[in-house]
Amino acid sequence: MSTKLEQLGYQYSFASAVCERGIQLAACDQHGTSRNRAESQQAGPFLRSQLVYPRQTARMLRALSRVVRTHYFDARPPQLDPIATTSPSVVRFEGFSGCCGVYVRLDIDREALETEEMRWGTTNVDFNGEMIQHLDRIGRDTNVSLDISKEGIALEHTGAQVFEKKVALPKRWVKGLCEVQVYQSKLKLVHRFSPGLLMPLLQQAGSGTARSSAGRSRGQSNYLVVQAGRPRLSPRMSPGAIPVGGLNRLDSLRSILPLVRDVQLYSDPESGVHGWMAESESLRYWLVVSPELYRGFSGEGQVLSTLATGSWEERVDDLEDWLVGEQSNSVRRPPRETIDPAEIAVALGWSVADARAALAGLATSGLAGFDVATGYYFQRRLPLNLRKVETDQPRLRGARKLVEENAVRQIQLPASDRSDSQAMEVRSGEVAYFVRLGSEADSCTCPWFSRHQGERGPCKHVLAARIVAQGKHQK
Amino acid sequence: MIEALEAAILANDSAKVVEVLSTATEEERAATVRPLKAFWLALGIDRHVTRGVHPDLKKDSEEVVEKRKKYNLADINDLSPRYHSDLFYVGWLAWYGVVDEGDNSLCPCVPSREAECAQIMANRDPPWINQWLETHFPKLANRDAYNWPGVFWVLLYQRGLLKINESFQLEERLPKFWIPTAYKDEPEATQQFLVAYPEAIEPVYEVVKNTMQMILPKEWVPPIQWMAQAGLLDVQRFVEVALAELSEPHNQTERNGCIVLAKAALGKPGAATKKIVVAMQPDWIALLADAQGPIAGFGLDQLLIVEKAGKLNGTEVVVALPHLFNHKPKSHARKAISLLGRLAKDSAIRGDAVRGLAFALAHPAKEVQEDAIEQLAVHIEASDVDAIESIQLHLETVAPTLRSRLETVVPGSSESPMDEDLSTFDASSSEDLEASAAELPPAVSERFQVATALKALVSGELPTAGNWKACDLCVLDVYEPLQPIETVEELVQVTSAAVEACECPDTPERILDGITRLYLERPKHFATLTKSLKTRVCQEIMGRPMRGIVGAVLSEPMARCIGAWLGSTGFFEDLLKPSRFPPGDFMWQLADRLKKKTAYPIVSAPTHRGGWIDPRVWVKRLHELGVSKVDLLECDLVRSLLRLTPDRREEAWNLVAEGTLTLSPAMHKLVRVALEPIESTDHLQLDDQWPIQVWITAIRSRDPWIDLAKHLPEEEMAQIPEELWRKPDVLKPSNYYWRSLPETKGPRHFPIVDSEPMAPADRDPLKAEVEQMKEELNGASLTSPDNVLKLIALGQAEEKLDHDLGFLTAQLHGVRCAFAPPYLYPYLATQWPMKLDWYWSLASVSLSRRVDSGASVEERYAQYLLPLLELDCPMTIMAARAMWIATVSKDGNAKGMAIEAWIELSQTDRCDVELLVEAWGDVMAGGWMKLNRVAEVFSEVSQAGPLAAWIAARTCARFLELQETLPRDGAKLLEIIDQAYERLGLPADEGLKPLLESIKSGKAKGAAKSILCRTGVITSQRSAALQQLAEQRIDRARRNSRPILLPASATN
Repeated sequence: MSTKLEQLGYQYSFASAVCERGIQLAACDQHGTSRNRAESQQAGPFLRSQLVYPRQTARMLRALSRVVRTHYFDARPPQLDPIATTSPSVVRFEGFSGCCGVYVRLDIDREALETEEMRWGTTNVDFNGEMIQHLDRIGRDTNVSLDISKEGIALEHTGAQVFEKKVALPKRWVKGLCEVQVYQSKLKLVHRFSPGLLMPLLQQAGSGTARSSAGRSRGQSNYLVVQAGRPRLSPRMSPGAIPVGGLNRLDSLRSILPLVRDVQLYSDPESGVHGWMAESESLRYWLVVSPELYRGFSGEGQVLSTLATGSWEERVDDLEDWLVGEQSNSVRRPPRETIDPAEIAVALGWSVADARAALAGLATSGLAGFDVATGYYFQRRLPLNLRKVETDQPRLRGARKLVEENAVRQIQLPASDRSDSQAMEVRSGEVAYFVRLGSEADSCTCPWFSRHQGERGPCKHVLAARIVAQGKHQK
Repeated sequence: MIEALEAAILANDSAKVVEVLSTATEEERAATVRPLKAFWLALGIDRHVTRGVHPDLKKDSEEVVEKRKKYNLADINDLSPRYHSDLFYVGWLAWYGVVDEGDNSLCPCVPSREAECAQIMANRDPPWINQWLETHFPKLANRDAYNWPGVFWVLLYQRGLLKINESFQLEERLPKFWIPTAYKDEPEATQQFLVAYPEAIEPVYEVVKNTMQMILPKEWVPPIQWMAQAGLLDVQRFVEVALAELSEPHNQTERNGCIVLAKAALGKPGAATKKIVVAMQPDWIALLADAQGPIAGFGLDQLLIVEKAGKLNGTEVVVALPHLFNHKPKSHARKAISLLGRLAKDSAIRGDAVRGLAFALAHPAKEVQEDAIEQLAVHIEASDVDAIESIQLHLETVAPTLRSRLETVVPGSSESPMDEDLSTFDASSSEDLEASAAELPPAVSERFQVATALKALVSGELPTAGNWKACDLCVLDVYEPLQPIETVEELVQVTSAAVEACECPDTPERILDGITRLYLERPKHFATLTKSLKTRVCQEIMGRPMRGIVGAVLSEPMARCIGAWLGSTGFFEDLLKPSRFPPGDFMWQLADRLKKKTAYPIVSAPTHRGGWIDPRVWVKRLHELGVSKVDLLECDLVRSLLRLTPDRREEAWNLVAEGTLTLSPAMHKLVRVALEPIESTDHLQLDDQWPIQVWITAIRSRDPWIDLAKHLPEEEMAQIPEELWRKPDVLKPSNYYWRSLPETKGPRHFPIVDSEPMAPADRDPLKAEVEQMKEELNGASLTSPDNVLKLIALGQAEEKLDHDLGFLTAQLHGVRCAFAPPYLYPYLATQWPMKLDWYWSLASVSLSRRVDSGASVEERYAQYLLPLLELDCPMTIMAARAMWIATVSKDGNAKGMAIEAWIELSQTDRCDVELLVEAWGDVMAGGWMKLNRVAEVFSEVSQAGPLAAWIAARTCARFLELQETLPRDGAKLLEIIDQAYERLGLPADEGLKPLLESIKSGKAKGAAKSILCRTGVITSQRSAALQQLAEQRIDRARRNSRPILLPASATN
């Protein structure tokens, strides 16, 4: 990458060493915990396969790389790093656009791969020019092998091979992965379109003159309405209209339209996040798009309240054990492909809310994603230190600092105020902010909260007030 | 020689300088240096070139003074008119030719005189040339090629002075990308140089890796084309490098640059090129799926060459070609269809080709669809089940006029899903509609033309539009009530949010209402609660958030109000009082009251969305203020009068008349004028209990269109000053004089729309004088004292003309608004929601300013159209003009909003075709209206449903009927008509036939013939459209059937 990016520091649980099987690299540890050493020491790639639909798969991977290489509202150096996660039944390639406003994922079902074994594993690599050229040249009759290992991803066709080595995972991506799963879990299927119906819309959204009406400008909303069976863009909210800000970010979807049977639109009207799923034989191409062009998932804060005040930390170890297949009676079962908070709650004797909070903590480190199609979480296996979660969240860090500085003070509300909420004064620098903690929603008088009205998660003042109110700080 | 040189310099003649120097010996040159420097100093031009030579010579040296005297020269510092930049370069050229190696070290040649310098040096062939070359020929690689005089060096080489031997290390000495500039000016010399030193070409392979070069690829095209033809460039290597760059993260412009360069290298297909193109076939196939249309098209063009060579890999190409249909331009899509047709002849891949052709039906261009159907007709077979299924999926996207043809290709395909939707249209039966209509009051039914809509269900004709005004509407049943702010904390939260960003036009008024009701409340934690807000608002405008209520047009008065409420001191002096912006004037006065703690809950606060006030609430407010003996702001009262809804006035009046709410006698009288149900306004009388401004507003509140000349007694009229009759919407209603003006060419931008609220006959004569004065001053020099005096006189006359005498209704016509946040445009409409013509006038002028500009965040004039999206907002001629301008605007925001408005107006039966066509003609008169943009918008509008398609087509047809010949891009309008009439089963309009019959050739011929051939059949889509229209009318009549007791004059 041409730019210096903030990278996430991997923390490996053991040092690299020479053992009976050869060199055992710490970076190749599958899970970073000693209890999984046996599993992680299994040699070889997670996946060694031949593509059943080489052309379709290559085109969709190419579309994915296009998203990852694009910064949609500013000319900044992109990141090129798709994350590849294999599980016994599906391979997932994931990534974010350079602006972090678009989450892209390609699910390749086992049926689309000729393989004897698919094992758990996650890696992330850059898709460089050479890989792109290889993908572009793959045709319908090409024999293509796709191998994924901890070291990287290998693609071979017609005698030519390209290998992309594993690279460090950008911190913004981990934050993005954490936030996007919260939004994804709220998405609901609203429309199915044939590729032909969608094409004029995508052409309109991608054309220069129409970009403005596709919500390119800051603060400009756009909506998708279906009239006489056709989707079209509208500048106003009307009954049944779906908020679709920054629709020009769907350009990669346009490039795969000839390959797909239909395209499904998922939406969460409250947040304005919209998701698009294009489906072909055993391949699903996902785009989850932030509400506005300038909003990146990494800058959202949907899980901050949970992180600030929940007791998820105590439960994460148990959850990790459960996910990898270890149970309290030391009986091993296969790791979970899908994660249902309700199932966790039953299995581990927690409330569903606690299970969700623990899962959010896990997802905060990018260790769990959400699959809108199935409605369940899935695992990613990244060797990360969960305890670093908070330090990677600037707002949470800021809130802790305010608490440490005793900047939070409770305000006695007049007797006439009969609401069951609490009021706090949070002093930050020269200015004091008024924070109200309500049973349904919190508010603050700071500019950030005024601007976003809580849509992008709580501000640091609200978080600080919450921490103090719930006694989650050391006095 | 010196005299000849001096003459050449003074004549600014470079060629003469070269000629004079051509035969000079080294001795003659040396002797010329000193007098030339003296001449140089006499001219007074920039001395840095000659600084190091004969430093004893100064500006006042005798030799210099003599020269100045001889030629009558003035120093350029004395602003000599003789001076210009060329003189400097010609002088330098002469200097270049006489000084020796050591004194000629500033530059290797004179900028912009490279060829002359090369000639001078060649003619001179000085003994120190080799040493000089060694000094000057560049030694550092990667230097800026634009500042490297490549032309000079190649000419020096051509003239035999520059000799490059093996030890010269040419590659290290040349900047990388020097070739284009040298090739542009001296192609022959550059070619000779490159032929002699082909190693200079090596950096060319890096051009496509350099983003600066990629964004300006056209400069490279001629040299690359020549190098490729001359065999100096390894074309395949170059093209491979260019294509490899497409895989790198470049932007679209840079990627397009790669293709331009690759195209240049490949040149016209020849035997050698063909071989390369064939060898690179997999690359071209890969390009077909590229996200950029031009790149995919380039790939296709190369594959067509491969096809001609008989080497096409049909198996791979046939599945990659459909990606071409993702791109809007139709030329490559049509080529792709043609190729698919040829590939389909191979039985092994016929099925894939047919699938590709089926996908082509999704392309929006009718020509592309037509081509695809032709090919499908030849190649599709019954066994192509998935292709047939795909065609069924794409039926909705196929142009209506092509569906019958498709039917012959794929049986059953004419029943599109849209037709199915319509056949199950959930609508009341004709009898139900008639029954519903029968329940309506006859007057209401007539106003909204319900009967004609019912008759149209049988006749199948588009009925005439209803005729209503805003004063006929039951506003309170349609517009949602506004939630008043209840607590100080809520007020702080709402204000804080609006300060950061405001989208809702009702928010500023809600805040003002909240402030005036709650400003005296000071809870204990008030300081903490408001500290952040105060910090953001109470500062200079540049420090305030720009997208909210304190950041733009209303910023100063709004900041003043908020600051006064928060108890701020000190920053008020810095605020600027708004000029000629009525809402701002009101807020300014309100802030004064807030500061003095004499503010009161304002009566002009809207109770409902859109600025409306419920008359019942209004009288209650007046009652309460009367009880409190509040000193009412006159501007508040006047604003409130213009916001009263037309409905529920009788109920409100009854509250007063029956004594439920008591008012002072004066207020009682005023309220009576505004609310009392009366049969006629013929006996209106003004008295001195209220200023005339308030009286007139009260009258306009009940009847915005009233002409008081027809209602006031003669004796009253005699007392009214003449100038009041000239002001719009004071005694006479505004009667707009609206003109679309021709565009002017040139640097100055003149308005293309002139909108005056009063027709010339009713206008103040001073207006004509002002226009005359403006005309006289147009282009005149303002340095003339006479013109300055005229300018002052013009200013005074304009000020006098603009004096509105305190009438809000007149002031609104003077509102100017630009660079405002989006909420502000619809906010303006809330000032007098009943009569919006002043607003539409402003909208039309504003929108016309961006008609040929792209979308702008700062000038969001599209927002002006928002009131048209209200369910019952009537379409007026002024609104229609604004909408037409938005329709033909290049501004994407305006165009998008126009599409939305057209659809909404069509779907809710608010389009009076005759009125629309009249407005279209008005806008068209300026000559700048582009009909292809109308066609683009109408094409999208037509997709929204059969009624929208009908309205669009009927409007086009009526417009064309009025044209003597088919206007430019009229063919596109005919296409709209043709497609819609096919859906609706409509024959050609009688009025349109003459024009259609006159079209004998050109693009319009096909559509004209198609329309002429149509016969009338009421299709299911036409029935559905008529049913929708009838339902809309009945619903509208039902919504607005509550009696509204305004005088008859208001509804005429």
